[in-house]
Amino acid sequence: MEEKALVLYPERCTGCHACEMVCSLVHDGESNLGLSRIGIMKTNGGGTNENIPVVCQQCHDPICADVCVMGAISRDNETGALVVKEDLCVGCKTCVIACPLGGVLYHYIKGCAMKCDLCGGDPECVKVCLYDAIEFLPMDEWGIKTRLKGAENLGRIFEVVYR
Amino acid sequence: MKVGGYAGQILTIDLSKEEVIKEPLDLDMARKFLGGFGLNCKLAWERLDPEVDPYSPKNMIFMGMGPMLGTPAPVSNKCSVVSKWPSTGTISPGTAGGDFGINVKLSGYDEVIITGKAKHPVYVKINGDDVAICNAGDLWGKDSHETTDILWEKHGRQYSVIPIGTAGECLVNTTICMVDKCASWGKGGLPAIMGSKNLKAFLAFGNKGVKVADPKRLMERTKLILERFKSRPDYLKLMIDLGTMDGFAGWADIHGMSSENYAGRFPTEEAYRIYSPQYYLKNIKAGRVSDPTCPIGCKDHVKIQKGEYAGTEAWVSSFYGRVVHMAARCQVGSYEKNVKAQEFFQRTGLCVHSYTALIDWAVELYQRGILTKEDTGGVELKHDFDTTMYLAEQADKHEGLGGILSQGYNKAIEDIGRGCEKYAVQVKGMEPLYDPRINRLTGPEFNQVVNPRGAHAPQGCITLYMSRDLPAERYRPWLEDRGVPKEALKRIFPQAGYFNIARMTPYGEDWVAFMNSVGMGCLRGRVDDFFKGEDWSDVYSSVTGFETSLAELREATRRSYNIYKALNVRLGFSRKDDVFPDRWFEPLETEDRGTLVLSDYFGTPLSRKDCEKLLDDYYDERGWDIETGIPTEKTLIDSGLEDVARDLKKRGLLPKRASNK
Repeated sequence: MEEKALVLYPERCTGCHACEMVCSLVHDGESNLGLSRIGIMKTNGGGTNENIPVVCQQCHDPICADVCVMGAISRDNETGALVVKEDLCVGCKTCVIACPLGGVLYHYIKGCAMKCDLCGGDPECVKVCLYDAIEFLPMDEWGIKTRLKGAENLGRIFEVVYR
Repeated sequence: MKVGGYAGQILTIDLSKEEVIKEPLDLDMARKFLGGFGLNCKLAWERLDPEVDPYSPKNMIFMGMGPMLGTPAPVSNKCSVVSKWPSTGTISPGTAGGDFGINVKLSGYDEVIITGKAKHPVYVKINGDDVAICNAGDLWGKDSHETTDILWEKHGRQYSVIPIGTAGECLVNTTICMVDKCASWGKGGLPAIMGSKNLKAFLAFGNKGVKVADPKRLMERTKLILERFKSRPDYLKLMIDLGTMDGFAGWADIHGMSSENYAGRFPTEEAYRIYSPQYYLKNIKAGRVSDPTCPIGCKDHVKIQKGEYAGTEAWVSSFYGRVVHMAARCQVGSYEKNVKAQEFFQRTGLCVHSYTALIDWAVELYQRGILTKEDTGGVELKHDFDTTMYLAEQADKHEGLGGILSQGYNKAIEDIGRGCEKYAVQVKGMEPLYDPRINRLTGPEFNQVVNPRGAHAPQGCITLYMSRDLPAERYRPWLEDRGVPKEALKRIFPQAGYFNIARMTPYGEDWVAFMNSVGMGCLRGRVDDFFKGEDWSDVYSSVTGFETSLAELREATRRSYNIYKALNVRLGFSRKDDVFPDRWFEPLETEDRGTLVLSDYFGTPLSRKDCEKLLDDYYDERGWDIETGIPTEKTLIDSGLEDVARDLKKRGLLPKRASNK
């Protein structure tokens, strides 16, 4: 299985909330920012570079699964997503506290842990983000993209210094 | 049946009694008036005393969150406010994007009604079922941005905040509210109405969710619409780069903006010298902000990079429009001063659209000797940054000449006297945005005259940009697609190569009213070009669960527009108030485009008599009496407004006979 994750670009996020609304709609049948697995946390006036998308990064060694005494969080071998087995989860919220990225939340209606399940391998949030602030990428491709981004930044610095 | 979209509750907050009342939404009424703008008008008709003074505790603020708000449907983000405005005395709407509307909806309310007056400064906090009236004593005297920051600090950034600035506190009515520092709401004095109620701010954060009747169908349609945007990556790139500044060439060159109090046109060369898109990208732009679910993030985050005002930042909706007014009406002279002035207006709550026009007017009055240094406090009034800031600072404190101007044309004309009204270019006390001698008389220009709100174009103009170089037939497919009946099309296009703008405008007005009712943003062509009429009936039906055709949506909107008109008929407004400003009939001498005269889309000059004929056509197309501009009894009854017809008849306001052909 190829390792893939949702890659986030705060500098592209215009703060339109479409990803959150779609996420809660497909998972819970209603549009609700509080039940969205992905969250757009705004700062100040909420423009690009001021909005921070937050979502589970499907850790290689997942802390949430480690701390779960019920064994309710496990990896789906087909999609690579860490998935909550709602029938095993007792709603103790330890995973919510343990995740340093804010990737796990508490489903306040169902009373269990809630997190991104990658929509079974085809994330809906990615499809409604017209400015590619969320991409679903294989990790090797992300490596190259990250380097390219670094090169762009460096290029800009050179332009400033040597102009 | 599963009902979605509508949250099902009306929230009334009585500030005098410190009472919060929740009542169920009558779904039949909601379907009849759709929501947002339409429902606001219906509730205002039933609950607002038409004779009420705008600053009386009995005046009400109706805030409507249409059924699409809070759903993932593309561009579902516009909430609507209706009140009796202090600047114009009309009962009319304003709309805003930003996160406030979705959070009220996600809290479980379709409508919020504010009435009464608090004993001391308060703010209203809505968080789902929990609605609180909180003490705002320490916020009084703080500007918009300061208030927003303090409330975010206290309650968390997840809240959407609508504060009033300092000008609103002293009842300045050429003011507007900011939503989360960026979107704007309620031109014509929403802050002043809130100030009169001792209401410093609204806060909302929703946690209850919005039901969608058929999520699968909604998602299919949403993806179909988004695919059309995705197929135009060049366009998306342009929008993320320039936002509304993509319209630069339009205002700077192709059309142009009026200056010198509608007696000049801002020179194209000057516009390119100071305000070029290249300069904007390099020295002004800091980021892009989007309204909820809008595929085009067109709002601006701007930050001055260099000079005296370096570091000043602002978040601005329709940035280009505001740049234009500061540039052309106030002639502030540099992009930096332009943004600095905008930031000051935002903090105080002054409306860039309204107050710059009044400054422009005052400068002409000074040049003509009608205003003297005695009036100005010894200051020479000029088209420049210093005059702009001087008058804005006075307005903020409601003192001196700036204070007089800040009460809008109607009151300022009374206070200044001396024949100053002759030079006031306004309709119903509101300034026009567009000069038809520069742009020719297309939808927006014509709408400024007939809009019950006053000379406000975006509320009701056709959603297409009407570039004069396109053939008449270009507009037919849009009208056909949006469900305009065949017989109407025959009247709009009576002969090849021509359209009658007065007969076309009602359908544009209705379309915008429809969008403001269901809760969709429009931004005219920038977004609307990517939609088809059938999208809207499909989205409305899949969200609400009420299978509704485009024709039925049109019918509901027409009903809403008629009740909107009736609200103002009841106040005494009629054809006598739909007046083309005198100055539009004078030739406009420009520095670089020769002499421009009022003409139709095709360049044929129009006299006042021609314009009066166009008004006849407009009322006729609307089913309103030609002599009075008032809806006929038949029109009201046909749109299911029997109660409205009865009321107007009882007051003796219905036209005696239908003069229509």
